[in-house]
Amino acid sequence: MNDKIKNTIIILIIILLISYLAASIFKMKEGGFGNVALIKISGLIVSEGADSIFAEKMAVSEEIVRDIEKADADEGIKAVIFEINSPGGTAVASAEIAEAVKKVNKTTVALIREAGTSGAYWIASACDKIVAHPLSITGSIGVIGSYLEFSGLLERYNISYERLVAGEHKDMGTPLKELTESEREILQSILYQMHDYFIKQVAENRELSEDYVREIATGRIYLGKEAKEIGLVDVLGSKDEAIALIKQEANLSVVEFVRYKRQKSLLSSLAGVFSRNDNLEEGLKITT
Amino acid sequence: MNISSAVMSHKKGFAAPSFWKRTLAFLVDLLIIDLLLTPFESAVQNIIPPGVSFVAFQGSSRLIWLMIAMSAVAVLYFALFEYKLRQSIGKMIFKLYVISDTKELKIWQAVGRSLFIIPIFPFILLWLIDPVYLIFRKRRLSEILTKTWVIEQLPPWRVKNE
Repeated sequence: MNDKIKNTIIILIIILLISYLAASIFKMKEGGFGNVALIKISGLIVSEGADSIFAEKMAVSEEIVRDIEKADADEGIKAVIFEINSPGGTAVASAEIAEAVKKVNKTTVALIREAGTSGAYWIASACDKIVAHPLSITGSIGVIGSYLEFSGLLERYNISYERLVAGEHKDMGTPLKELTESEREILQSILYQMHDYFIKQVAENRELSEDYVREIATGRIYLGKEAKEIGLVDVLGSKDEAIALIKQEANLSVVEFVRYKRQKSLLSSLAGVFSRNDNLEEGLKITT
Repeated sequence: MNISSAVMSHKKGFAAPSFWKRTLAFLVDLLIIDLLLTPFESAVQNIIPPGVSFVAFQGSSRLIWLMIAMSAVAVLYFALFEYKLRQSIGKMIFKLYVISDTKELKIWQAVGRSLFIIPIFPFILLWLIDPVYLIFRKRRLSEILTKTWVIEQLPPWRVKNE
């Protein structure tokens, strides 16, 4: 091989190695320089996620709470920004995250991008300030437990549901039989209680009267600009406005983000491909 | 062949390259530097999340250090190639060589003439000054200060006519 080509390749490899090493130092220093933790809440909010690489994007409360606690414990972090793009999720997962947010002893700002509805709004309401894009969708303070019921379809194909239960309401909410009146009452009562809890939390977090929140908590969605008018959002804008707000609220002259990585091993991702995803289970599922 | 002595003794076959040839060679080098800086991509995205304007992060010490590290890689690219081979890859394509006013090109000269790529004051001033010098004096200010030249190897048909 021509000497010049050989030397060119050697020099390129040396520079690439140096470049890779230098970049690795910056990656290792994650959290070392930054003063604002950026935590993303994207997709359906659930308490446990699927490991599969093909799984739907989800905001897993367990992981998010861990990130929040990490940010709170880090003395270098002066504020936390939650970048929200979620339609909500399960009540417990949303509540877990909202409670963790409330415990943070630092400035917290929620940035609602495309959507921050239901459980995602619950989390946003726990922050000190909420920034939302004027065209984002927010609100939807309500609880849903609707599901598809197949008993009619099964009957049509002459398939019967052999009910074997110990405890009258054990199979309440199964899609294979119609709800009885008492079951419907029980489920509806659960939804009302959850809704009530949700309303109280939003009222407390946003410092609004419970009656007022009850009035607007019909489960309807609001555009960002409407939400601002009714007090569900503080500032209209996007990331730049959120950064400006953080600078002002946390008294920072410079914002340097820290993002916590949630790494999954290749093996667990591959294993997840063949595992069952409980979030896709049929039947009654109550979500906020 | 010792390029330095060839030019310094005014041998035929070498000349000062045109502004456009040097610009094209530089663009090729920029493309290669861009590839060499690929490992930094995720580090940059870690500091500036997608969708946020760069302005919001002005003054960020983390960003400044990252820019310095990336600039160092770019300087290293030019300095190493020009010191060891007298040519960067862009210059190889256009048959351009770096020579020194002194007998041999020293490492400080190779590094010094490449400092213009650092996007921090005062080097950033060279982004304006160097091209102006190149147009009017066929030599960048950085080259004058480091006592270096860039020359072009002429094709045989041009040597006869020179």
